Amino acid sequence: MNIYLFELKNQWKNTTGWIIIFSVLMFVLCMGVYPIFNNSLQDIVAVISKMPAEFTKAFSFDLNSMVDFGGYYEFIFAYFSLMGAVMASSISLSIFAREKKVKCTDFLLTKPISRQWIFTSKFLSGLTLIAIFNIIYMVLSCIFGIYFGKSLEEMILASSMMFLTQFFYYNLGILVAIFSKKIRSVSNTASVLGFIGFILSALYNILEIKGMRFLAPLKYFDPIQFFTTTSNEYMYMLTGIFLLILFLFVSYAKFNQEDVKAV
Amino acid sequence: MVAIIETNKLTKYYGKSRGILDVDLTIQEGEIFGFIGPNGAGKSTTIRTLLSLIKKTSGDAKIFGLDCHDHRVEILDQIGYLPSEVFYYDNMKAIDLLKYSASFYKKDCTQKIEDLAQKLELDLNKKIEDMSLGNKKKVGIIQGLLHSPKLIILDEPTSGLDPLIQKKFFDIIQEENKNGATVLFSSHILSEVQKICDRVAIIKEGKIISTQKISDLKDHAYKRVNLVFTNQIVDIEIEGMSDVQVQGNSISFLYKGDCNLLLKKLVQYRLQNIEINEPTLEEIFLHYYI
Repeated sequence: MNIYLFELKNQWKNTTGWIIIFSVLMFVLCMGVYPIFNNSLQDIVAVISKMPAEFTKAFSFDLNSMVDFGGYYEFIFAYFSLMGAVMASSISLSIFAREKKVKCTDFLLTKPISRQWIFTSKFLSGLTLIAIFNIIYMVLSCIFGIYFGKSLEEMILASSMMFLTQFFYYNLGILVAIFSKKIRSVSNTASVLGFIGFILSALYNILEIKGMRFLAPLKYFDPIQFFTTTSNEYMYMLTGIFLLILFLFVSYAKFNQEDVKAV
Repeated sequence: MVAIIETNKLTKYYGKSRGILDVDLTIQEGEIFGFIGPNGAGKSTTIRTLLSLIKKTSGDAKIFGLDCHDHRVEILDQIGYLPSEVFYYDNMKAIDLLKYSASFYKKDCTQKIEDLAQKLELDLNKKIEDMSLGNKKKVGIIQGLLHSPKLIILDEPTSGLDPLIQKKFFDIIQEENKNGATVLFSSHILSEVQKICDRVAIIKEGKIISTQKISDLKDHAYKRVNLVFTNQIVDIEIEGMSDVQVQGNSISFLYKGDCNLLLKKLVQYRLQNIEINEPTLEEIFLHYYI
């Protein structure tokens, strides 16, 4: 429990900051922007229609669907998932690269505790923070969704996609932390991981090549499936779930077997 | 006597590069065992293999009769390790770090932490990142000893400590040893090894080239002989001479052999001064590297 509590103590401030940012943004976007968007739809259509189609596709502007709260939720989810990805990967990078970054791996690995338990404790501490964040995210999503006419079931399922997206990026962050020789900056590395995902999603949106969606991790867990009759989403979800499990097992194996070189 | 550390043909390769080759070591319970060698000889590799920080390529390594890798957790519960360079987490006070370290052991280490901090004159409420190198090293010493380990592994422990604190450190180690701890002491500073160790192993290019008692090492019948001739220096040749240094009328050399034969040879010369001294461990050590 000591490693678990140690990591929680080191990460709670950062996580609280993210929770506050998300909460404020959700409130502003749902209670502030969405009603204005609905009331001024014609004006917005006039502005958007002057923009290149590729631009609107890249940034997930689909005016036809955005009138409905489900479509609007999918639009803001494109950006929330990016933020969530950066948040989750920064948590895992911080936790799993902590000793490597400050060169005190020897300190931890010469304690009477198995490497398996070290990995598990660290993993659970980060997952706890992500779970807490997602509970709050889910509650807020449900409140706003129900307010705008969506059912509780739809909103629970749609908002659960944030947890899966974050779980994917959490495990990706662990993989990067364990395989990297050095992590100079956690925030920069996490941002790069998130933005690569965003760029891949934008490219998919522009090019609309079917198979390309398998290369866009921010598209694996799309909430639109719960607001429409879209099918085949399960293929992308399964891909995402398979990859996040793979990342975890590979990281676990590497962590347990790795030689710890002297600094 | 019970062997605390036993290695049998312990070998570690880093890819194709050699780390250590066929290292055989036996360290008995209660010993203070020195481990000396130049940079890159394999001292840290040996220690890190014993601690399961790196995996051996072949051979056996046991501590307390248990395989180092298979029983890693049980073994580490009774080991205190002080590496040559100490690094700790950012933004932590010394006391918080030491409490975190103590939390891994199933005993109350509070009193021991306070006692050691007092002996080493360390302010526990200071942040580690604000400390000097010497004070960080003190944190490392306390961290390695707070759980009263049965085996203490020290890798060049006194770098960064002033002579006064070095003395206190050695007093602490000797006290731990009197209380039953076995000590493995890796160092470049031969005078320390000379002062504190019972036995020493010399490692060179990954291989143990000698393991012997400190007293035997010094009693290798090596003597440092310094002669000052009255007149011009003569060409002097004695069997057993080595490391000959000539300066003006003076000649200095290492002599290995029967001192009676040496004196018989020297009596024929007109000498102004003669000194016959115990060689330092450094001189003996360097002998293995000539």
